[in-house]
Amino acid sequence: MLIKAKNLVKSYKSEGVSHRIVDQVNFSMKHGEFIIVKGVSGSGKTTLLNLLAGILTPTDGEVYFEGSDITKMNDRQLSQMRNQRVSYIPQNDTLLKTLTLWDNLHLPFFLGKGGEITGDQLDEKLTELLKEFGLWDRRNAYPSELSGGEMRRALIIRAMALDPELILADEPTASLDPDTTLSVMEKFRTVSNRGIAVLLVSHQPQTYSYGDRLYEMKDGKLRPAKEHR
Amino acid sequence: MKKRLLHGLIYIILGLIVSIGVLTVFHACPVMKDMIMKCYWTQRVSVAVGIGIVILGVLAVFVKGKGFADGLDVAAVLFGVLLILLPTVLIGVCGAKHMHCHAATRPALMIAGALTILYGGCSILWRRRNKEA
Amino acid sequence: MEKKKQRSVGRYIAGYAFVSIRQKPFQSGILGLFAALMAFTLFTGTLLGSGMRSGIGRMKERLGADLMIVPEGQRAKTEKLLLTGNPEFSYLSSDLEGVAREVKGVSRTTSQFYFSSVSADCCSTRVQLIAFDPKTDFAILPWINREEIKKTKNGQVLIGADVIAQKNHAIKFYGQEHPVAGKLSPTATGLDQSVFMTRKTMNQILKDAKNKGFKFLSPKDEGKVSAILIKAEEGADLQKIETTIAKRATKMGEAVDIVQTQKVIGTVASQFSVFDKGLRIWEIAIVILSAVVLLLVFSFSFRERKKEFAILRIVGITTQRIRALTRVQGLMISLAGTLAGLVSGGVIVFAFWTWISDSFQVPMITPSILKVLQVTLSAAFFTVVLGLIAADIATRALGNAETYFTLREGE
Repeated sequence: MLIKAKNLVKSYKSEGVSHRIVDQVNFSMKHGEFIIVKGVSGSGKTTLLNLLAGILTPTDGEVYFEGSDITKMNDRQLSQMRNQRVSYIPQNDTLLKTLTLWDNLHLPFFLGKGGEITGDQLDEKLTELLKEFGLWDRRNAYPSELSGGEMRRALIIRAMALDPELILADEPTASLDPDTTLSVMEKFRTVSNRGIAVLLVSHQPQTYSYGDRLYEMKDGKLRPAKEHR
Repeated sequence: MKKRLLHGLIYIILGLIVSIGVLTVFHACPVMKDMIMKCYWTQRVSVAVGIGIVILGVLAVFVKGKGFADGLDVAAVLFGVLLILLPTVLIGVCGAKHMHCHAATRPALMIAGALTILYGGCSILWRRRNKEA
Repeated sequence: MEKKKQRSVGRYIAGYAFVSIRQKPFQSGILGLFAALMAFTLFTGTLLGSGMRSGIGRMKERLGADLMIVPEGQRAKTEKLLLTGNPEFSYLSSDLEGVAREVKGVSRTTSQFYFSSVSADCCSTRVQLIAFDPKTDFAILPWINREEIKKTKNGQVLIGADVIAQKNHAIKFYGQEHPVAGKLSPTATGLDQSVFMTRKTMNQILKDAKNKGFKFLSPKDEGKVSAILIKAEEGADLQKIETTIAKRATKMGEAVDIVQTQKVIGTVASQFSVFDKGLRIWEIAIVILSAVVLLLVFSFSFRERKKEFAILRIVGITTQRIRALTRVQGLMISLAGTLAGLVSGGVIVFAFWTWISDSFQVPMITPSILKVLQVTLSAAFFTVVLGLIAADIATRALGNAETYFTLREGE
């Protein structure tokens, strides 16, 4: 099992009352699986992803990544995990606007631990990916010069740069036109076909059919959903 | 417009510092019993050069055109060179170390000249660099 | 392979820090300005203080005479002469020298004659001319470097360290050239701007002046002296000597003032002490102000970049690495500001050294290259370290914010 959430709870206190954003979630995922989680705004999808990425600490429960309990990891271990093994694509555009696309893609390598790959190998890989995703000519552009679709594709490339085992994506097709949405989903499919597990959160029905499995998040609870074809 | 204003303002301030400074804080030796020292002439010419730099600054604010801007900066650099040469080679100041013109006027003019050359030169290089970019 | 990545990591971090600095030119400018201000203040303050301290020390060592007898009312002018070389004198009887020599506790005496003139070489200000007796002198001769010029021939002159002579080593007074026999080493006093000669040479100059229509000496003043210098025996009571001489002078009908030279130095030293204290307070104020501004602006700047740091955390960058990034940025700005401060400080201090000394009326000796280097490094080190600390504190304050909320803020 790649990732496993056990009785996961995240709650916040507001005016003395406790609110459960994630309520007793039990969930697991295998290597190479493509899972889509649907749900309305405020259902706790983003919180779930943040818990799985180790960005948030659960109020209760555990998260196991390749058998290790991430809730017990220190900052260095969590950083290394996010750098090399679990890539997280948050909802907002998260390329650094002061760097070119090329430099942004090198960020996890140069500033993080980088893993086994060398600088030259990374350059080769990024070149290949940029060409495959149609962004090679845009490598020297700044994020402000990229379109919405280009930005999302760039984020996918950055997420893939250091050969992670899992990619967590939060609403990657939000505010994209239908054609671009489908194109981005195709890319995720391609990524998954390469053996990288993808857990993607979306509220757009046209995206649901791309995954191997579909789940629904409602009122903090995660349940398998009926698939839409 | 903002950039031109700032650029021109810097020249205006430099020019005013020279022309006013050399008549006040950094004054030359006074005329004594019809004896006019060479530092007096250095002072007078420096005032004129200072006014010249002020005029360059005013022109820099109001006149557009890259070629013209380059020309203004070159003129400023030349004025800067003049400010350095005036108290040293061209006219000079009194020889004694503790004379006010030697201790204050001369170094002040040289520093003002160096600053003008530095700023004018950097301005030309900066414009050239942005042109290429 | 690891080595190659290490080199590139450094360059990447430096490049990243540089881009961050350029992104916010106004903030970076303020930070650099205050770093420059700190470095400038520390550098100039320390050098000026050191120069003045050395100047006073030199003055103390070498003033030569312990006491000076001058005409009554000339006390203030004597002090002025010792410090700035600005002349104006009246005269007293040379017989007083013999009287002073006989007082208990007096080791040696010598007389001097002061006169100010306009020299063709020395521009618009008058130059102090001092006539001394080479046989009895103990105040001027110790300042001369070479043995052979201790005997100043008639017609020759000795010049102070700051006097500029003509190229053929002669100085002109009232149309007559006088060869320069030697130059005194710097005394950090007004004597640096004086010209020294025998009484005979002085008389010749006065005659040349008279021929040109300048009448400086009235007949009653001929043969008189401007001051009588006294060297006391080791351990002698200067106050006692002063009182005795004053009494005997009054008996002779001579109205005199007696100046204890160490007291003159005392005045200067206390003036300097006030200035020094003021300087120290100013330095401390600037350092505190700069430190506060650096901290505030760094804090503000990093708070604005919370989202950026959150992105870095998400792609797996440790907090240590983020701190390294901000430290590099702090270092770059501090170094740039420090360099600007030191260069401008150096230019101003050394260009206006003489003017500063004259304005404060405190003797100043130019520091050695070693001293300048030492002061430069200290000021640079202090400023850079303070800048780094400010950047570090500002980053640490950020470290507690949960990444999640930072990103959520944008939604």
